[in-house]
Order: sequence, then C-alpha cells, then structure tokens
Amino acid sequence: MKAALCLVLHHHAPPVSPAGPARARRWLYDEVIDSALPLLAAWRRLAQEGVPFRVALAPSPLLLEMLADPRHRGGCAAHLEARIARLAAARPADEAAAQVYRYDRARLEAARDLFAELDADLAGAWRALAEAGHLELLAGAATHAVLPLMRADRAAIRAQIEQGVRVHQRHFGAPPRGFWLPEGAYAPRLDRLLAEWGLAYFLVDGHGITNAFSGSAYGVYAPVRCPDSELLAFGHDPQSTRGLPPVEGLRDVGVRRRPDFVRPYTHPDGLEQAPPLRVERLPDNDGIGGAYEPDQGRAAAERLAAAFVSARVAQARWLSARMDRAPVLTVLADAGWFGGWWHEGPAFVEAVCRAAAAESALTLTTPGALLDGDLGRLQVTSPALSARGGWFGPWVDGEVAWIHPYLHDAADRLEALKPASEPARRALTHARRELMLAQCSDWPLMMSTRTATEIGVERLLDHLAAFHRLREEIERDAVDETWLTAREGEWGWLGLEEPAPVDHRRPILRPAAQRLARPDPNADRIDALPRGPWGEG
Amino acid sequence: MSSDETLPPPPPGFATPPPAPRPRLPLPAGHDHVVTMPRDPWSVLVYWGVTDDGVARARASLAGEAPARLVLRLYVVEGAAAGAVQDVPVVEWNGRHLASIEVPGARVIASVGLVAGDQFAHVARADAVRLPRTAPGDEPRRFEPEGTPRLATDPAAFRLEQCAAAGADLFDLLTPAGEAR
Repeated sequence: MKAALCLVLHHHAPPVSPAGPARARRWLYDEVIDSALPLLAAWRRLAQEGVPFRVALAPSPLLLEMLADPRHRGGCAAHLEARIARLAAARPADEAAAQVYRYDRARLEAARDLFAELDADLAGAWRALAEAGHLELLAGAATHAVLPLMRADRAAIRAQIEQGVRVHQRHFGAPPRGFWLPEGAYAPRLDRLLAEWGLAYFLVDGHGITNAFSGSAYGVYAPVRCPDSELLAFGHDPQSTRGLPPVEGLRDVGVRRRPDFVRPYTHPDGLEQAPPLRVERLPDNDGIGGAYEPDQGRAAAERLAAAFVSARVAQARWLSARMDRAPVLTVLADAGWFGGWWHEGPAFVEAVCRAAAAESALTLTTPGALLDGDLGRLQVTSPALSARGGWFGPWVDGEVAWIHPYLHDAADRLEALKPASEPARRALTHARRELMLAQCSDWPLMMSTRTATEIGVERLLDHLAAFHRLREEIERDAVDETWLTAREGEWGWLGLEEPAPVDHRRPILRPAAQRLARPDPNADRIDALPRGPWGEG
Repeated sequence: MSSDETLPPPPPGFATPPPAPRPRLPLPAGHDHVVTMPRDPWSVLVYWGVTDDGVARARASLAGEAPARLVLRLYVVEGAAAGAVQDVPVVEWNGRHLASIEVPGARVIASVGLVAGDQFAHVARADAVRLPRTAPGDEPRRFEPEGTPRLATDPAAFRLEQCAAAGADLFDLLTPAGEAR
C-alpha cells in the first residue's frame, strides 16, 4: 500500500473594498499575481503534460467573492500593468540587475497573459482543474473568522459555515467535501456544525489530533473519525514542513541589496513586506551576494523539491514499518507563501508534483480522494481544542482582547433584530454582512502582529459602526436607503444568501443502511462527552 | 511618492459612501455577564460586565453588613489543580483579564461577585471552559467497527437543498438544557 501525501494550500486575502486603501488592495492583487497565477500556471502545465497529480486547494470565500467583482478584477489587471511599467522604466545599475529586471518583467507579462486568457476568472480555472481530477476544492468560513472564539454564538458560527459553503457552491457548482478551518482553529463539537452542511472532513493542526480525547493511535498519520458527526479530521504533519525554507530566511533582499536595486520590486510606500522577487541566490548555492540567476533559482527549487519528496518517502517507510496501514502525511500551508514570500515556491510545488508522480512509494493525493479508498478502521475520537501554531494568543492577547465583547454583543443583537419593512429586511441582510466582515481573523492579527495595526483597527471599527447604525435604523424602522445603497456598493461583493431556517436544517447523517453495521459498544461514551460551551473537552 | 501610484483610481461613478459615524460602540449593557475564552493550555481571557442591580442583589444576599469588595473569582473545578480558587480585584464594571491558570486541561469557571470575609455572592458566572491539553486525553481508544462504510463518497449525491428535509436537529444536542437558542 502506498503512503499518501496530501498537500493542502489555502489562498486568502483580507477583505477590501474596490475603493479601499491602496495598500490593502495590493494584498489581494499581489496574492493573485505572485502566488495564485504562478501556481495555476504550474498546475495547468502539469495537466497538459499528463503528469498525474492531485492537490487540495482552499480558496477563502472572501478571496473568491472579491475576485468575482469586476472592479477588483480590473484593479488587479491594472496593478499588474503598473508593475510591468515600473520595471520597464527602471534603470538597472549593471548587467546583472538588468538581467533580473528582464526576467521579472517576462514573468509578470506571462501572468498578465494568463489572467487575460482566463478572463480574470481564477475560480473558473480552479474549477476546470478540479473537474479534471487534479484539484480538490475546499470550503472555508465565510469571512475567515476564528470559529472557537465566537463563544457560544452558535448562530454566528453557523452563519460563517453556511455562507462559506454557499459561496463555494456558487463558484464551483458542487458542494465541498472538505473544510479549511480559519487559522486551523478547532473546538470540540465544531464538527457537528460542519456535518450539518454535508461536509465529510476538515483539517486541524497536528496537536488537535495528537492531544485528542483518547490520544491518537497513529499520531497525525491517519485521520480520526469524530464520534457524533462521523466527519474525518486530518491533522497537519509538522515534520513535513521542516524541509521547507524558513520564511524569515527569505527576507534578506531589502537589507542586503542597494536600495536602487530592489526599488522596482518594492511597493511605492516602502518595504512593507518581502519583495516578490528573490534577487539573492538560494542559500544552498554558492553563497549569497550575487545577483539572482533565475535558472539557478529554479534548479535549486527543484533540488529542494526532490529532497522534500525523498524525505517524505523515508518518513513513510519508517511509519509503514510501525503502522498496520499506509500512513497519510498531511501538509497544510498558505498558498500565498508559494510565490508571495518565497519566489521559487510555485516552481517548488510543480517540482514536488513531478517528483511525487515518479515515486512508487508515495502518492500525491487529497483527503477527499482518500475517503473514496480504503483507509482501514479509523480511530474514533474527538480532536482537541487547537489552533494553528501558537494557540489563540494572536486573537485574544492584550492588544486585541477588547474586540471580543463588541463582537459577541453585536452577534447577540443581530439575533434579536426583527425587521418590520422591506427596507429594514434589506438593511438586516447588510447588517449581517457588516458583522461577518468585522469577525474576520485578519483584523486582530494585524493588530497583534503590528504589521498593519491602523488598518486592522480601522476596518474592525468601521464594520462594527456600520452594523450598529443599521441595527438602530432597523429597530426604528427608519432606514437611510441612500447610505445603505452606498455601503452595499462598497461591500456588496460579499454575497449573502438567506440563511436556512434552523428548524429546516438537520445533520446530514448517512442513510440508515450505511450507518454503523452494528451498535457501537462504546456508544455510551459518546453521550458522556461534555456538552458545555466551546472549549469544553 | 503617492501610495496609490500603482493602483488605478476607484472605477468611474463609484461612489464611496461617507464613513459610518463613529459612535461609542455599545457594550453589552443591562445584564450581568461573564465570558471566558481559552487562550492556550495555561491561560484564559475573561471579560465581564456587571450592573448596579446585579451588585445590589449580590450585596443583599451576603449575611451581615461586613464590607464587601468586587472580585473576579476563578475556580478550577476539574484537573490536576481541582479546587483551586483565584481572586482578582475588579475595579471596572466592564472589564477583562487574562488569567494565568497554569494547568493544561483544567476545567475553569469564572465568576464576578462580592467577597466579604469568607462569604462570596456571585453577580454573574461564566460557562465552564476547559483549557486545551498539552497531552492526549485519557479516554480509552476505540475504533470503527469492521466494515464501516465511509461518508458519502459521491459529492454530487449531496445537495444543499437536502438540508431542508425535516428531521432531528442535532443542535438540540448542542444546546445545554435551559439555554435559549
């Protein structure tokens, strides 16, 4: 039996209005230009060459909705043109710099051509690859909220899941089987809410599995089945990502090169993040200091990919000798890392797909594909409260602790609203949208990491203030439709569908004939699980 | 250099609405509440709001006229430190505190109330939360029965519309007894 390697990538960008601050719009456009388009080009190339590969991709509902807005599409195309124009106008100091400029310009022009060929429809391109069996597309929470921090606001959590699934279905025409939990944050019993929408599995950080209620017989190397919902949980394998270059190691450009050399790659208002182009050699070349040589960079990425796959094969062999089944290695990563922070990332992913296709001991596949095969008898246990990397600190620590009473209170007040007229009903829909945008995990993260504190505070307060203005207008049944229309024009790209009435929803359980073949002798233990608020267990 | 240099202006005819006025955002008011959120295996974030009426009721339930002070009381009700109690002075009637518990896996209940001598009268109490574990839980391991089929293997077989079918509502199981939806 072949071991399975599941590479799950997550595309996301903070929500921004088409008329929002340039810096915030660039986060979205650069995610598309430097990461999404190069990755897409790599996958299309592999598909055209007939290389067998399967990768799971979880584009956030926010990203999907923003990229469906023609204003954002136009903005992205214009930003791409502007970056090309800046490179064309740059005056390189020497031939080495000129070579790098030419390379980057050609790269951006290829991205522009692909964007035009797709008619700016990335979702359509991802969908085509999914229909060809190369991608498995996952859903996520509607506005990337950290679900376990939404207290016992189950209506708010339900809304995040429901609207996320609906966005997925609207863009991809099929229901998702898998769910990407924002920031990897899981709380016991969240799986039951996911089950309501027919999802079959979700992804958690490794410690959610290894610290599960009954521990994990196979560590993160086999999914576990949640006792009540019957969903499967796949845990991130931290060992797998140790082979990848550290992010911090990639931020050398701005400090080691002359400003005039890197200026064409940096944003006009400064080095707010690593430039999208590596202009130093990779560490495993002949040292640093020389100008970037694209061929060498690509070759180094391919060597790294080969080493990555060989390390996974060795790991799988070691595990196979100790397990009664084929191990599953699940790697969760931000797609924006590949290309955005790590210039050769898309080349690395492409090379991993090629190397895995040629490997007899390992299959590059997706959790959904594994569900269709034989996973063996799975352990039945509930994953533990967990979050990606460092628990919940970035979302609850001192700088951001103040936001939670406001968010929880607003969720409570939303539930109590009873619109009395058509304008009030329309205002209620938009109030729901404003609250969901306020719940986005990016705002507290910007504050706690101090990467864009002012934007984080501004957006959170703006959405909350708009929510309360609408709430008051609904309560008074006196909606300012002019203001509402303007606000919808700014944020209406986030489509919200009428939530299904609670009484009409039910958990999607398997048909009776497919239920457990015989009574579970431990069924009483399921009932014994604590049923308190989030965080229990 | 303008920060908008590389970006187009907003589309023609696109009216940016005036920013929403910045009122003082309302906090939960009119009811006593305490909410606890686990931060990591060693600490919890607690926030609370108490009212004059709530404090008066708590004061009335204390025996005698002894001076009382408002505290945030944290009980560890399960885990290695079960029975431990921690009092934190409360100076704001709407406040928050990052409490260090230092017992991974512990079950914690936070309460804001008046303490007078050895008496404690709570004004509001949070639901219990359990800190994340740093080690596996101690439940016995169990596995699926032989021949357990997987969940729906054909994604096309499921449509959201199926959710409209009537049936048992699992959320009944999720809702603690007595808690309104």
